[in-house]
Amino acid sequence: MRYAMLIIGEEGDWSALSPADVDAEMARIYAWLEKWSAKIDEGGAELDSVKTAKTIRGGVVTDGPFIEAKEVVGGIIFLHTDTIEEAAAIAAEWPGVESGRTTIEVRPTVIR
Amino acid sequence: MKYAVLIMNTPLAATLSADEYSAWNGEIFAWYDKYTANGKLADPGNQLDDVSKAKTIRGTTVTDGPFIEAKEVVGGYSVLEADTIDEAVEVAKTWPGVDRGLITLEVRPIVEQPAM
Repeated sequence: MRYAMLIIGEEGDWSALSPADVDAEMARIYAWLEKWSAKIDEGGAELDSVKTAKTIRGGVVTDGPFIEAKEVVGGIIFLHTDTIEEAAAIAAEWPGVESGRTTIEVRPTVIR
Repeated sequence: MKYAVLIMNTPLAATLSADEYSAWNGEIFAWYDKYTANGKLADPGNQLDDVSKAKTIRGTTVTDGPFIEAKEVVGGYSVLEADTIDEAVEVAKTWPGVDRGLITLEVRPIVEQPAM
């Protein structure tokens, strides 16, 4: 089964980090990506800041995200696992989840 | 440039009859065929299953359900190839049902990371 990991957090958190802390966090993320590379499917992406988003609602285009929330989707990664529990266990190792800075929503994808 | 399109179902989408829903699905399939053929779609992405099937991991706790209870939730994800965000928005506006308020779309630039 293919599962989507929505990576959710507060955007300000990253801009508050020092360059050295950003590097260290990126190193942890790359280590996670390498560790789970056999389980990661193509198609994931890191999304730019919600400040750069445009929302289309009923034909009207506005600047900004679809919902004003403290926590926003900052990226998406697709996993290939047998069960959602296995996907959730892998997601729980994403850097920053344990400390509570990042929240992950794992969702099954629909195969058409 | 690649742009992510987050596809949100609105409460209105849940009010469609089975026939209306099926007709709408036909439009959606045709849209993906068209934009795959003309090269505007970098990745068709995926439809996500219902939020009731989500699991959220916060700290060391795993709970059933989505990270946020909201009227509009992310129901799918696709990637467009466009020169500017405005061009991506023009393509996104043609997504079936957006003009009728069935769907809200958020278009976001994708960050290209340097090779590992």
